[in-house]
Amino acid sequence: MPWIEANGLTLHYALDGPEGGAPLVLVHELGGTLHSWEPLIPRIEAAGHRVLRWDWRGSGLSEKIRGDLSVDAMCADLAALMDGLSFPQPVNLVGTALGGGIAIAFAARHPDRVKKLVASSPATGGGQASVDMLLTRAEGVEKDGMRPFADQSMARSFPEKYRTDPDFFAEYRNRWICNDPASFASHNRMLARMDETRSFAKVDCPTLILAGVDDPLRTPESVKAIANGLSGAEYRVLETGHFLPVYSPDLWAEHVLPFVRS
Amino acid sequence: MPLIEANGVVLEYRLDGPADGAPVVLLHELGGTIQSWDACMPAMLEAGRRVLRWNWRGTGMSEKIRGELAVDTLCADLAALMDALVFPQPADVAGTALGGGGALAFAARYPAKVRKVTASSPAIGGDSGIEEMLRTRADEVEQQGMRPQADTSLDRSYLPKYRTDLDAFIAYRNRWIANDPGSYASHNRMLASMDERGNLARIACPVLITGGTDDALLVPAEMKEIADQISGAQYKELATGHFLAVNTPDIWVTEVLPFFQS
Repeated sequence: MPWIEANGLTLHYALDGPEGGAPLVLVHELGGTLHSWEPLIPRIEAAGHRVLRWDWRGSGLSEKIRGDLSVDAMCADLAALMDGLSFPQPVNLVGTALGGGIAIAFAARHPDRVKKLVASSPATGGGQASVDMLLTRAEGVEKDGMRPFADQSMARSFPEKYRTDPDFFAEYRNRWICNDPASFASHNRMLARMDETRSFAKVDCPTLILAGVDDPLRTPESVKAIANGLSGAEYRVLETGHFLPVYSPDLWAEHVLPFVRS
Repeated sequence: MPLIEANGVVLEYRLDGPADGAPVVLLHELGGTIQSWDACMPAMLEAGRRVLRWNWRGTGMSEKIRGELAVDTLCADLAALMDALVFPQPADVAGTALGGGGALAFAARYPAKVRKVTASSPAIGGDSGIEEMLRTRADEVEQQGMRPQADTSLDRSYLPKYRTDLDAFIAYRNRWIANDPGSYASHNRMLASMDERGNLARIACPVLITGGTDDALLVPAEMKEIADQISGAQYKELATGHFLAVNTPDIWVTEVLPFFQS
């Protein structure tokens, strides 16, 4: 997959689907990569979308982060990437977990670039318990690397009951372990500081917010509160966990594709 | 590309060519990745070879390094990777620059796994005059990231006269910048403290060492000295720079590959 320089850094991205197809941009989760969407790509292509994915600054094969990262910088990266690739806009923007939070933040900052917005289990900041966990994990991975934190993180985000394909789970876990610890720490700290509640009023496109019954990190109640803050947003609870597209691709396709098509 | 756990770390690798082809293992250079060999691949596939490439611990998607890395560990990673993949052995092993030093170190430690070895501009450490540059660069990338070092480094290793395919150079530079600075610093420090001179006499298989006329980092006279210390080793000086397989893949194919084929 190719790289491009955008917003002053090297970003690794993938473009799939027919040129001229309805544009779709996918935002991966904290600890994930553009590969997190791989199993869904054939279905997205079959639905006729032109789809753009990228590895966040610091993730996968994109340029790594030294120091702090802001939500503004992440959003500016995506805007510059779309422009750098002359990607057709406005786009349908879809993210999961922290990627869902980034998608909401982007739609608030760049309303002219977003046609429709879908966020599953969006992490938009807030919650002291979550802040403590994120800051502790950031310090831990910087000191000891990713590996010692894999199992406790996966226990929350990738529940046992969704590990139906052991090879698939092993690959996801391996990919998670391969993160750059310093960049992952920056992502965690960004989320710990993040508070997008004030941005909600600026989102003015059709929005679908999805929650998972088995998501201990962003419970359906907390996700519903986000949906209530977004004017006219549709809200649905699904039989899934924190990473809907990763381990419930059928549900993702069933709920997300019709929403962006309509 | 697939990931596998070997020697206690997750490694990213790539296999090409027919399963029963004569086996070749390729080691990339410091700051390089699996893709550093891309331009040499068509000739190897045409020759019917089974080719294993991998991203060193710390490189590409492979698991990142916290702290020190030893040459012994890098060699043990490759041995474990070959075993885990049931890759046919003994294999022909080729490396460029620090990958060339790694190939020689591997041949000295695992004679049963190596049929022939070729190393272009091998970096084997031991008072080669670049230790201070390596340690300074390690400190600087840790503080400032990869980007500020890119042009200084590539002006030495990827001379402007070899940037004939501009897209290939830009892609190389982007991949270089996307390295994890912490792991790249560990690789630099590994080379700075490495000294394989005492192990050269242990290499018992056929060896071809090449130097590059335009290689200012490791000059041809020093490369010939390495060849002189290995019993029966051949030596050739080629019209290339520090990264033979990257700078001049055609010369690698015409001058080095036949050594494996004979």
